[in-house]
Parts: sequence; structure tokens; C-alpha cells
Amino acid sequence: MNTAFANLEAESIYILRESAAGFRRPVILFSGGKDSVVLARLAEKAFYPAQMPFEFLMVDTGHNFSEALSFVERRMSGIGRPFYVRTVSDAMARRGVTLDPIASRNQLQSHALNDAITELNIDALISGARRDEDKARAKERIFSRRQNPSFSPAANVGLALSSAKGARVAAGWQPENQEPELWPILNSKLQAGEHMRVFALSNWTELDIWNYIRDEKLEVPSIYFSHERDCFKVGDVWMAPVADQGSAIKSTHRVSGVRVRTVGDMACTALFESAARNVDDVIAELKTSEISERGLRMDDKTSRFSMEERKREGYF
Amino acid sequence: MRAPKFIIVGNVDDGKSTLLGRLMHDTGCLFADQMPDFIEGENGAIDFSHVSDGLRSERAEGITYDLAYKYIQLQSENGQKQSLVVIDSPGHFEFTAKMVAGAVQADFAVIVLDLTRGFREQTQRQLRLLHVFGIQKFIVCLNKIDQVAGCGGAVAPVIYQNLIDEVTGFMAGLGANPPQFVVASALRGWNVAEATDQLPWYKGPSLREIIVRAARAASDITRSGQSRNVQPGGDPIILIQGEAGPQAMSKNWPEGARLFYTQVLKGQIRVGDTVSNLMAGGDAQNILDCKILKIFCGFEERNQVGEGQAASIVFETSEKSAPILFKRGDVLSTVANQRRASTKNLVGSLFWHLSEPLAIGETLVLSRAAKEVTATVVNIAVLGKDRGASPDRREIGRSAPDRREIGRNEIGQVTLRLSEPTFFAFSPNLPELALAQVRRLNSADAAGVFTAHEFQPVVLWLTGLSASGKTTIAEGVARRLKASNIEAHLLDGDAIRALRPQIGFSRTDRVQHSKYVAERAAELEREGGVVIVSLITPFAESRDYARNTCENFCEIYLNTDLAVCEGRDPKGLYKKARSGEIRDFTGINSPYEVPQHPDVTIDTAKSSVDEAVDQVFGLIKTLGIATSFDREL
Ligand SMILES: Nc1nc2c(ncn2[C@@H]2O[C@H](COP(=O)(O)OP(=O)(O)OP(=O)(O)O)[C@@H](O)[C@H]2O)c(=O)[nH]1
Ligand SMILES: [Mg+2]
Repeated sequence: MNTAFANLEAESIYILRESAAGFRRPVILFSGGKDSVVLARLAEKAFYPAQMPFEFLMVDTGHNFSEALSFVERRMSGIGRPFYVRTVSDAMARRGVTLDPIASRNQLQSHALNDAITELNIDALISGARRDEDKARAKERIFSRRQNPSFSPAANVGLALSSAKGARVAAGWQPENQEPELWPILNSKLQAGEHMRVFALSNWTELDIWNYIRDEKLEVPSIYFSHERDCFKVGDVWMAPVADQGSAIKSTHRVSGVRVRTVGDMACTALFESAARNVDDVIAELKTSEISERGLRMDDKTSRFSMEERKREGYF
Repeated sequence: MRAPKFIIVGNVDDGKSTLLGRLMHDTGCLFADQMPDFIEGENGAIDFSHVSDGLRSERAEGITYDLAYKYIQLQSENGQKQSLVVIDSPGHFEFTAKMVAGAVQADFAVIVLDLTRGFREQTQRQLRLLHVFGIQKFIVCLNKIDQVAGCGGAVAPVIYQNLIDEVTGFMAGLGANPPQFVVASALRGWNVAEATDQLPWYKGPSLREIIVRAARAASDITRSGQSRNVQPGGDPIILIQGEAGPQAMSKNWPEGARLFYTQVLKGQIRVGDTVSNLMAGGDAQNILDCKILKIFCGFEERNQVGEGQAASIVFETSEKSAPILFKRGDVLSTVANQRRASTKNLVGSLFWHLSEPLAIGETLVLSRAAKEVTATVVNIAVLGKDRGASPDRREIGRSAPDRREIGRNEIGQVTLRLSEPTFFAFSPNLPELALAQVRRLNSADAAGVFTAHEFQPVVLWLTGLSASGKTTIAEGVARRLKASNIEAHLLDGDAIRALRPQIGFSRTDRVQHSKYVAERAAELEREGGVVIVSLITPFAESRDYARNTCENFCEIYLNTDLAVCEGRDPKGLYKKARSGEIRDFTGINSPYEVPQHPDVTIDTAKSSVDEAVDQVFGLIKTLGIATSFDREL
């Protein structure tokens, strides 16, 4: 049996339109990363010449690359749809937790995300997470049902700050309980107290994403390309100091050609030396790369199952 | 263009995940930084199953729980890279539904079979399901050859050949395409990425080569099964996904123009084409023909759009006041006269995966792409596994099926009565319209998967003078249906009269008799049958009664000249009527009221039996009773 659509673009547009038809308040998670750039473009195309029925949400960890933040601002100001920014620091303040200025806040993003679901009464969150990225994501549905988070400051904080092994926070993924999804039939039915996670780029690979960025001439944050930066070395990779890290870092070096492979929290996204200055260079480099896409993500290295664990807590 | 997809199936522990991991490892699809994650135990050996078994629970138990999607590139002989999507599926009986969910997406399947354990029931179940849900290319990998003592020697090829014979025989019984075979060791990497010299008796290609070739073949044809080298032909099929609000309308568009989000599932459409709604049901009044005013693909305005593309289309209707043009889930085509394509009676195969069996009389909810409809289960037939391969509709109403309920992970044949006429396609290349996810009414849990059969219930009613050729053509149609495994019900006027000797030939008797036949036909149609009636039916009131009683009713008028019929006179009846020996004989001393709006008119004086049968099949096709839009009838 042939699969449904002639190309990935048509497939994703189908998913986005099903999301528009199936949910009351579908919201796209926009991080400014390459996947969300493609996602935003597809959402515009899916409903053209009419306007898309989606809103946008960004979770700011407070440790974002400034280039990524300014890109997000620029892109979202032109999209003509409501755009919400919710911060990890606010989410943790609500829980009475003071943040460590340096430690990675990647894992804490789930709390800001969960709070936004409750606050905005969101019934579908759409993201550009792809199956190709990670072994836990390789097991995802396109429409993935989740329990709504119930805001309980004390309980949530406890889990957030523990290593969360096996612990369940509301809004979590339960890979054991996923019902079979009969693509291309997407079941938008929710039970009371549930919302949907939508993975509209499920079948795209990293290379597909970059080829599309090239073909559509899409802008991405400049940190994807080789640039100069003050970095410090951790093991054999470079890290950028987070803004308020100040004197904590003794020796940063001016590194002449570094770039990122993914846009994430600065405290967990390593940079690597590269001469790729534009999209074509990136594509050429990608074709011969010996490192996996998330190989430079420190948040994936906390345990063998770190992505699965974070997803169980409500991470995308 | 999208990458071809294949699924790996097979019984639990036969080595599917190990095979996939090994294939990815040996073809350079794994990254150095990922390798530590695959190493198990102190000795630092790679456990290849870890590549796709990514969940903590899967690794702890050593079995696959859920589908994993892997995106790989394989080298072909000419040095080019072939992109592929691989779906690793769990083999355990418990997870059969997940395997089905993977199979419906796949272009072809690799079946892993542990040749030390043989061809087990679960593998047979999986093959049957793959076949029913449209897989046409099967690659059987006989795995774990390293466990056969002296596998390079004389015994192994015998075991190998015996299994090939067994599986080939089973597939032939299903009516499925014969599979291609390869022998391998996933653990040792023999014949996985490259041919091995460990098995000198095996002369065939490696699994990688076979997969690359299958992928090539899959990407050379379009999703509706046509070669990519030719222009997409045939009737277009368009699915409505939604409508833009009125604020989206441009002031430059004429009044009554409306913007819809669509997917072109088949064929090609152009600006200016007139489309009609295949969901409009049997009532001709409901049909609004609409013209295509504008087509947008992404930000581009176009004159035409082809298969597999998402398009936003502006439609214009002459009836400006129409409150609703199309609903979400409606299916459009440019074919004129497809007014009965949708039906309330639906026949198909149903895979059931809840532990409480499905019984006749239950109410289900069917979701196909963008559409939900409720359905009552009118009939169920399940054949035992020793009764041949797949449940086959020729069994319905014939020899009694083994059971009338469908148990866990079984497949049965069902006749459904839908709450509203809905368009379903047969073609496995139109999964959006051929498949439905099934739930019990008022339950959120997925319960099964339905796929429509090629021929749907219908009453083909042949009317015309005695000796006009009704029975001959009816039998010709039945013969051709039989070639597609459809056993039609033949209701022939003379044969039924023989059972009802009290009925005469007066107008009252004739009307009463055709009423009886119409009711019998409607009953068989409701049970899911294809019914062919050959009855003079001289009176319009009788034909109207039949039309109103049956759901999908086709009036086929044989307008063969009286003189021709009289010349044929096979039973000498015309002679007797002329001589006055028989009274009330249609055309001689009893009237024949000529049909005013037959669905098709056939003059058997001018066309051969084959041509007449062609005409009937043409009708079946335009009316959507044969839900296949791809296969030539
Ligand atoms: N000797 C030998 N063992 C193998 C071979 N292939 C797989 N195995 C072993 O068979 C066992 C099961 O392998 P898996 O790959 O997990 O089996 P599976 O078919 O994916 O099982 P499920 O996904 O749970 O249905 C493991 O212990 C493998 O090491 C082979 O070619 N030779
Ligand atoms: Mg497995």
C-alpha cells in the first residue's frame, strides 16, 4: 500500500489542517529552531490565501541564545497571529523555587509549558519534534494524547528537582499506553482532562528540513552558521556561557568558527567547530557528519533514557 | 518526493529489531556518538536490537512494545543512495493491532522468520493481515541460520527450501503475491548488508539489495498505482479537509465563491473543471455541481494540481444561496453521474483487536480520513484458519461461515449499515478513503480496522421484452464478477416463477410478482450482496417500486426490438402468443411501458454479450459500486 501523500509538505499540511478541524484552541510551539521555522511556514501555506487558525507559544528558559530570541521576535512579529512567551523563571517562581542561574533549565521547560496549557486552555499543542531525532521520539504518534497538567506547586517542584526517574508528572507521555494510530486517520477525540500533542513533522529527517529551508529560502537563527564566539571547553565540546554566568567561568576563549546543530537552552546546547557559512554548506556538512543530530545536546546525556524521561514529564 | 516505507514484521523474538539494527550498523546509518547506548553487558558487545528498542521497558524486557520509525539511506548498485523509512513492529500477539497500524502505511514488508522455529501461527496471522490491508510486495528473511548446525553444508539448504515451499504455499492460499526469500543471520550480519561467503549454497542477493530494488519499484509508481512516467489519468478524487471562513474571501471573487482546503488523492484537476460531490447519496436533488475557480498550492496560484498535493480551492456554484456547499470529509470528482457513489450498505474486511468479540447487531463508529459515521453490524462471517486463507466474500450467504462474531486479533467479513451514505474506496492506494478506524459507540478506545471491499452491495435490475437477452447478460455479468471473487445473486424471472406456480400473467399478478422479487433483492442487498435481477418488469410502477425498495438500484433497459426478440423466440413463446395460445404476453397482447430514465440502455441486436457486459460494468464503475478507481474493470 502506498502511503498517503506525494511529499512531506503535503503530508504535514494534511496534519495541520486536521489539527485545525479537530481542536478548539490549537497552538504551535515556536522555539526559533529550524524545525519550528519549517512548521510555521507550512502552517502559513496550509491555509493560504486565508489565515491559519493557530496561535504561537514560546517557552523562554532565560538561557536562550540572544540571536535565537531576536530571530523569534522578528519572525513572530510578521506572522499576524497571537504570540505568547512564557518563562521558566515565572513558572518556578509560582512554585516558590529560586533558580540556579547557571544550571540547565531545559528540564524545567515542561513546567512552563504545562502552566501555559492550563492558563491558555490549550487543547492541542503542535510542535516540530521529529521521529528521526531520538529513539524515544521514534516511537511517537502524530496525534499523541496527554493528561492535562494539574497545577499543584508542591508536587510539581518535588518532581522537577528530583532526577525524576520513573516519576510521573501530569501531562506526561505514557508510551506503554498509546493506542494504535491508523495513519492517515488522525483521531482528535479527547477525554475530559486531556490535550493533544501534535507532531506535524514526524516523518521529516534533519536533511529534509535543511533542504526545505534551502528551497523555500527560509531564514533561520544565525547561530546555525559558523560564527565567532566566546566559549569554554567542556570535555571535547564548546559551550557558550549563559548571560548571567559572569565570573563563574574563568577561562573563555574566542573561537573563530563555531555553530550549533540544534537551538536549545545555552546551558545544554554545545557548539562545534565548523566552517559552514550558509545553508548549502550546512547540507554538505550534514551529509558527511559522524555525529548524530542531538549528539551535542547535554540534556540527552543525563541518562540513557533522558528524552523518554523528560517526555514522561510533559516535554515535547 | 517521499521516501518509500517498509515494515518489518514477524513472530516475537524471530529477530526483527536485531535485523534492523544490524542493517543500519553495517550500512553506516548509525553515528559514533550513539554507539555506547547500544552496548550491553561487560564485554562491550553491541546489542543490535537496542537501535530501535529505545524505551526503557523494551530494553528491560528484551521485546519491542511499539512501532519504531527509522529513517535510513541504503546504497544501491549504481552507488546512489536510496532513502527509506523503516517501521520496526512488535511481533507479540498482544501488539498485533500496532503491527496493523504500521502495515497500512507501508509500501512493502520484510517478514522475519526464525528458521529454527519454523512458520508459526503468529507469522501466518501477520501475513494474512498484510495481505488484507494491501501489502503487495513481501520479502521473507529466514533468520538465525547461524543456529543451524553446519549451516554452510548440506542440511541447511534443505531446511531453507522446505520453509520456502511452506510459506509460498500459504501465500498462494491467500491469493497473495509470491514472496521473495533471503536467508540471513542478523546476529552475525550474514546476507544483511552484503552477501556472505558463509553460506556457499545461497546464490541470491543480500537483504539490502532486495530492499533497495523494492524501494525503487515502489517509488516508480505513484500512489494510485500508475507509472510516474505517464500523466496521471482517470477520474480525479478530491478530499475536503475543511472550509475557510467568509472573512477569507477576496472581494475580487464572485458572489457565492467559497474557499476549501483539499487533498488531491488521485488524478488531476484544473481551473474550470466542474466537480460533483460523491457523498450526495442517491437523491439527485442534493447534487450541486460546482466549478473550480481558483487553485492555490501553498502561496502559488495554479491552473491545475495533481495527485498527492494539498490544494486550497475556490469553488463557485450557480446556486449562490446554497448554505452548505461541501462538508468536511466530502469527496469530489469531475465524473458526471456519480450520483450514487456513496452508499449506506457497506461490505469489507474488519480486523478486531478488543478482547470482547464483535457481534452482529452492535453499533460501531467508523472514522475514515476527515469523516466519522456510525454503522450497525448487519452480518459477520469469520472463517476458521483451516478454511483457506482470507475471509472471502464468496463465502457470504453460501456455505455457512465458522463463526458469526470476530474475536481478538481476528479478521472477518462484515456487512455494515451506515447512518448516512458515505463514500468509501476500495483501492489500497487510497488509504484515506479505503480504511476506517473502528470504535464501539460511546467508547473512546480503538477497537478495529475496516477496509472496504471492491464491490459494494447493489441491485442490477434488467428489464426488457422476453428474449431481449436479460438472462444471458445477467449470467455474463455474474461470470465476470466471479473472476473478482464476487458471487452475485441471480434472481431470474422464470426461475422464481417456477417456485411460485400460483402467479399468473395478469397485470395484478405481474405487479405482485415483481414486488416480491424487489423485496427479495433488497433483502439480499442489505446483507451485502450484489444482486442481478432479470425480469421483464413491463410496468413503470413495478420498476419504481423496486427503485424505492432497494438502496443502490440500477435500471438496465434492454431495448432490443420486438421483431428481433420475436425472431429469436428461443422458447417458442412468441409463436404461441401470436397464435393466441398464450394470453397476456408482453409486447404482443400485453403492454411494455418503456423506461423513461434507465441508468443504461443496451440494444442486444447491436452489441455482443461481451459489449453488453462491458456497458453494465461501466455503469457499476460510474456509480461507484465498484469502489476501485484504479483498476480497469
Ligand atoms: N543466533 C541468532 N540469534 C539472533 C539472530 N537474530 C536475532 N537473534 C536473537 O534473538 C533474540 C530476539 O531478537 P529481537 O531482535 O529482539 O527480536 P524481535 O523479532 O525484534 O522481537 P519482538 O520485537 O519483541 O517481536 C535476541 O536475543 C537476538 O539476539 C540471529 O540471526 N542469530
Ligand atoms: Mg523487536
